[in-house]
Amino acid sequence: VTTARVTAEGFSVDGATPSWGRFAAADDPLEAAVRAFVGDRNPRLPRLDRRTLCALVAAHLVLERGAESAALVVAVEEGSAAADRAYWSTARERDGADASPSLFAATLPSAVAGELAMTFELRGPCVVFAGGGAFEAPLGRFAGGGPRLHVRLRGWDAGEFGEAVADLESSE
Amino acid sequence: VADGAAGDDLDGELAAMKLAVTGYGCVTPLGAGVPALIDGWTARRCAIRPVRRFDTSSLRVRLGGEMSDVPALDGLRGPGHLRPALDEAMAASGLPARTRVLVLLATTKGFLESGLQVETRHPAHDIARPARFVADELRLRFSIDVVAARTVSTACASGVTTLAVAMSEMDRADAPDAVVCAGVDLLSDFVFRGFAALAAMDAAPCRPFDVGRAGMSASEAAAVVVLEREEPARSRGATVFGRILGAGLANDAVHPTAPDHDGGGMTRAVADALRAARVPVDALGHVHAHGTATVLNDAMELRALAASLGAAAGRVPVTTLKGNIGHTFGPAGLVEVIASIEAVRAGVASPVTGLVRPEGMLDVLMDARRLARPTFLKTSAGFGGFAAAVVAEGVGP
Repeated sequence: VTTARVTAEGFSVDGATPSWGRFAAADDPLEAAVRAFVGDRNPRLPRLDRRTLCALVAAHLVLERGAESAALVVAVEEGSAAADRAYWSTARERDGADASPSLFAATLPSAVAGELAMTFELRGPCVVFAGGGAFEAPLGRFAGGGPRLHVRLRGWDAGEFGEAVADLESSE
Repeated sequence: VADGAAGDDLDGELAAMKLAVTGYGCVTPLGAGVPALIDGWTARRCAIRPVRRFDTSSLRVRLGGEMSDVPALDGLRGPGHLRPALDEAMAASGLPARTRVLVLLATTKGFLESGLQVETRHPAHDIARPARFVADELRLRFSIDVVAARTVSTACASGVTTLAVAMSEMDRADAPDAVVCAGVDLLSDFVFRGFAALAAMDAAPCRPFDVGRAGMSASEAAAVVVLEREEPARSRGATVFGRILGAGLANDAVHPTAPDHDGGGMTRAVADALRAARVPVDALGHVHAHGTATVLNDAMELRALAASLGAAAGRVPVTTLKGNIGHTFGPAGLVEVIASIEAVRAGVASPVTGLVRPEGMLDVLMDARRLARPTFLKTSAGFGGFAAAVVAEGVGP
């Protein structure tokens, strides 16, 4: 298992001290990091929320270490509360005449998984567990026995920054 | 894929495992209970009507599928619909007290009824609440030993995804005795305005696979399916209504909302489901398609099914009941599996309501068709590129 973690303090791999490394001096270290890591693979980065950006950084850090992931399992503990509020702020007035289609698409708890799949071209089995208890969901055998990228997100409902953790596991 | 040959590269145990369907229940815009669903589908009744629960007067689209009003439970509408679906499924399955059950709940927005609930951190705005509700109902009213309750949210593929996860979970050494796959989503201004902004809805009732289709009809439902291993289920006297034979999951990895033009994800999911089930395509009696009636989804699905079914593509009947109830999102796959098992048990598949001029070369049903085989394929797809498929069969009464 290789583990990458992204928090407000920066990113780390396999328990190292978190830092933003060469991106620390940037106005927005997260944005700078994600642009450097996957900017050439996802043209939608400017429209993605910070939770998704952290997930992309965490996934990049484990996937760059070699293995192609056949399966993707994502756990989003807080569902999509922040994305729901962002979308509804565009949809609540004038009977939704100004509703943002892209923000609406982001209200699905599975939207993060979709961005991960697209960015890293993960075309295998893909499952999303949402809400409390999502972190405890076992990876199971639906992944077919191949390598699995397990991305877990939590703490994003309370403030600007939460936590994104990515594990790459070769087998159960 | 075309000949459906069983592959040896998949997990042997998973491929060999079948799960018995020992009970199911649902509430849909056609009414409460499986008989109401089947009666409406058979009679080609369309439950897509002017939306009553929120104002659509300024929108181009004003139709949707709504379940009948029920008394709220805990101040919420969703539990009032989910409880009768659970009761119907539990009555059919007869799961005894102290059965160890895993709950898998398919949803996109949980019990969310209104956008205003998003602003106020309302209890309905907790996506895990429906799973907890089902777990509590099972514990308190049926004395079931719920080992875990998990929320599966892969957009509109959620329902079929729970069946795939159930197969995986029942294959573990510490597997529960049964899995209750449930699903719920409610029609709300939150969702309706979003799909209106995406221009994804037809102003008229949806017309799956019709050349003139112009979008989906947003809807709502609650559904429950009980799964067990067949031998212990039969030994306790349970009725086996159907079997889940194999499942496949994939992702298009192409676009946040649009499907892969070539249906890559769905084709892979179908191939994996057929391989896991060890069912050749010639053995399929029918396909219950996702069939949302959006221009892009149906075109993708027609391509994916043509590729998956190969030479059998024109011979395997294809149907969907979204023309009757619209798209119920999270629970859609469960509702449709229930409908297809019932169709097999009755020996007849109902046609696609609203279909006048079918697109493509598949045998999309314009009229009811006697089913020659009990095995069927159920497909699903969702935003984020999710694709899910199960191969299942109905067991005659």
